Amino acid sequence: MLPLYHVDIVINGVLMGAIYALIAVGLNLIYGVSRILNLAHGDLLMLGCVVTYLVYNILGQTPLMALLVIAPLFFLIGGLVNISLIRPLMKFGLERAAVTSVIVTLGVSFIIVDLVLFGSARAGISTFGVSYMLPSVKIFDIYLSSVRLLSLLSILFITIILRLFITRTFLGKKIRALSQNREAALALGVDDSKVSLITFGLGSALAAIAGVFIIMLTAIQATIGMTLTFKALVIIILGGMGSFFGAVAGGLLLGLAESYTMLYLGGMWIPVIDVIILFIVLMSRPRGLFGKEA
Amino acid sequence: MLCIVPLFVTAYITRVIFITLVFITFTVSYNIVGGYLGYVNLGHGAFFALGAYTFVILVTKMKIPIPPSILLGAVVAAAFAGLVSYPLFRLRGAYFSIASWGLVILLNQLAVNLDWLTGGVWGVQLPIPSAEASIPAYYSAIGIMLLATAVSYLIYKGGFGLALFGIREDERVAANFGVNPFKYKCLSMMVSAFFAGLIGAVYVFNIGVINPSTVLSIDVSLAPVVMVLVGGVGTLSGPVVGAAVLTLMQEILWTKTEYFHLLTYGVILVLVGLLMPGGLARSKKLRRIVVR
Repeated sequence: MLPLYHVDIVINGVLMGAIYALIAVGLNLIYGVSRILNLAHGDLLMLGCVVTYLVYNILGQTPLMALLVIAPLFFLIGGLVNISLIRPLMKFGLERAAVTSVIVTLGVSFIIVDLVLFGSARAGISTFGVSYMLPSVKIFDIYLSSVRLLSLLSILFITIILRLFITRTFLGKKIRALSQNREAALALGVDDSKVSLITFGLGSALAAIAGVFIIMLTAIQATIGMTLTFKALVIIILGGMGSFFGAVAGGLLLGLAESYTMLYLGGMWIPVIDVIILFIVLMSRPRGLFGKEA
Repeated sequence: MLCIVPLFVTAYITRVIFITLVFITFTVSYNIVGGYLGYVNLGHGAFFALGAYTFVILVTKMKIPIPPSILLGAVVAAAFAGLVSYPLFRLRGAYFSIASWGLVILLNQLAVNLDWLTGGVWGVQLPIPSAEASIPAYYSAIGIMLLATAVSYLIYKGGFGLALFGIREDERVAANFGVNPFKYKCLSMMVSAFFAGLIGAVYVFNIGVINPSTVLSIDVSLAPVVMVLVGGVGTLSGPVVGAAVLTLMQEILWTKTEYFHLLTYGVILVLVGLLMPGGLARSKKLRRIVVR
């Protein structure tokens, strides 16, 4: 029988993995619909953490309550970014837009990070943490953190709703259509700028929601955005581009890998492991586990 | 003309010119992959840092004299680029860009973790007094910048550059015309990395100190991206113009306030991306070398 601490590591890994999966799914949705990789995705997540922090410390509401505020708020923010920055780019044509969007979203990323850095420097804080505690739950002689269980269940719930949305609703079908075959979808009359707008909002909301859970687990700094976007990329490549299930699977795998790395090597090697995993996947099976396109 | 400058002006101005030269070289080298080839290589800063760190490690730990250490720094950076081309160039477009950023993340973490080698977060101090280093560093920088610009020019005008442009415009068509995409991508990245590493080593030689926050921070690593954008991506003079303009702007603006550096870059990126993607070099009002 494995030592009991493995349970803790696995739970941690699965939880982080689930959060990562949320991030990856959000990024993938946006990419699938508009062929734009939002480099500021991780920074929107970081903003979600900051808002949760503010809600918790200033308004005194629990992070899970913050979710109700954050989801619509970031949906709007994502939509705003789309209208103001992405839509004008689209008139350059898809190819040009994809290249320029790297630049523009990078710029947005810088702006967000610097604003948060400035705000936090003024307030005298360098890291944000939310210490939200619930009594532990005991199962089979192991004490489990209720916060983690609750988070895991919430994310599971969100993922299921998301999946239902994508497969059962008309809008979801339009999203899938654009992702799978853009020209055909356009020819069939799908309004890509409207779908793109909504998807940007949706993806951003997902990122921010992930942020709520992240800040409950660890302390964060203003600069984690790009690293998280990178992790989302690793997941998308690991799981396979264009696959919802792949993003989920990839996220869980990465979460577990990181959790075990934390045990055996220490947390500071996690980014290195991420990069190594990326390179291994790219060299051996660039399609990823469940990828549909090369 | 630049050569006689240090005899006449203060050490401060010499240093400003030095930094400008460094960033010009850094940006020109970035432009080979980011501009000519069309692959936005966000990891370019990793080559710069690798050259710098290799130089420092060779000089302090292995007591190798300075000139060969600088060269070796460039070689290591180029070798790393070659190695890393294999996985990276399996990706295209924005995917490639984010993955290449992973190089900076990787190097940053390694620099912090392998503190027996790199001095960790606090870095390493070079046992050379700064005053002694600044003159040879300055002249080296002039030489390297000219060399890098010359190489950039040769690439631009020659068949190598044509291959890169072809890959940038339409990779499959270029391949059909007999251009081996991977070979050119890998080679261009290695050349690009060589100069980045070279100037990275010289930069650190002058500064006398290295740590992750000076060579691997976001604003250093991604500076060439902004600079080349302002100057004109993929043009010959673009990176030079952009780097010069932005470095001077930095010197003037940033000494006023320590905040908002990154924000300025961000705003520039967004504005240029939306309004003037051609950059200064392509602006019809300033007739420069025409690209397309």
